[in-house]
Amino acid sequence: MEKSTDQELMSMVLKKNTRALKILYSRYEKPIYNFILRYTGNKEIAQDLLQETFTRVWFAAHSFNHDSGNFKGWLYTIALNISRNEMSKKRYAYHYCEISEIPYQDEPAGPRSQEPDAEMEQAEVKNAVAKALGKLSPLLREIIILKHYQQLKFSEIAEMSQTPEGTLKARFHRAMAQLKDLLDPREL
Amino acid sequence: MPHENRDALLSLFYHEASPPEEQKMRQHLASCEDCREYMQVLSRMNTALSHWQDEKPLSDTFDRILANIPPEQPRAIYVKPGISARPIFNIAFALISILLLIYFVQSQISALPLWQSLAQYWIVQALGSFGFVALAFLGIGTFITLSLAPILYFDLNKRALHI
Repeated sequence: MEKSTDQELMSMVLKKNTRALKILYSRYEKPIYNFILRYTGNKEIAQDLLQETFTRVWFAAHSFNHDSGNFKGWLYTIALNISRNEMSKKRYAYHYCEISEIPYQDEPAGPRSQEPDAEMEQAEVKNAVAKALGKLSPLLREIIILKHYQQLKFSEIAEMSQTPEGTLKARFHRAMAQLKDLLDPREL
Repeated sequence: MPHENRDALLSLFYHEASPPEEQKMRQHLASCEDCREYMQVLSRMNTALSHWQDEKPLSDTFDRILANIPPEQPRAIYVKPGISARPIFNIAFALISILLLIYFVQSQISALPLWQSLAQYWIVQALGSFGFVALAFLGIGTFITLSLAPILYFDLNKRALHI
């Protein structure tokens, strides 16, 4: 079953096979988690939304096109809709967090770095990037995450977000210009 | 910088341009300072964004997903019995009905004057009134079945084709 394609696994999920869901989860947990994490800027929310995304895959398996559907695109569409929904719900109370502030208990402590300064600098840079992303509007942040981090093609993003490619590219240019203003002075 | 050039630069930067487009843009880059500068911005931002590396979700997430999924209800399985008494009863009932009908018809027919003339034939004598009526029923039944066969055949095929 491990070698089955995403489509084959989705057919099994439709027949209520939890093992097939687990294989799909293990294939996509990391990219989807990181997509949501960068979108929301909050580890706890990303964790909850990751859970919600795969729960929705289970319950909405019948709506996936089992003959010619692109599972990856379908999954990202679910994650994107859930994340957008979450962001709009918390519009007034929610702020994009500083990622490094919320360590998880089951994260391995790791060996102590030989160069704590370098480690601190790395964390600082990561925080600066997270803050800069947090300052972008959700639509601009979305395109940066999908394009840069998730390495999706513009055509794929256009299909899943139902937005013309030209609009997406224009957003990308705007996002780049804003990021340049936010990050360039720091000379990252 | 013209808008279409920026879009083409994006395609070039993310390796989404076709080979002729790529060649055209590379030629353009060699002579356009603005575009070269924009490619450098893309490259710098790309490097900066890469500082935020992928992280791992909690290890028990899938267990929590499973907890949200209701356990599957055991399906009621219908086990077909090896021998069913119903068809046997049906056949027995049909046979008894036919035999009673034949008995009734032969008792009626043997009182007719027509029977006296038929009884002269050796085959009628050999079969007796009961056997003769049974043979007559068999003949009529076969005739009706063969007459209806084309209609039944067409009907079954029509159902199979969902017409």
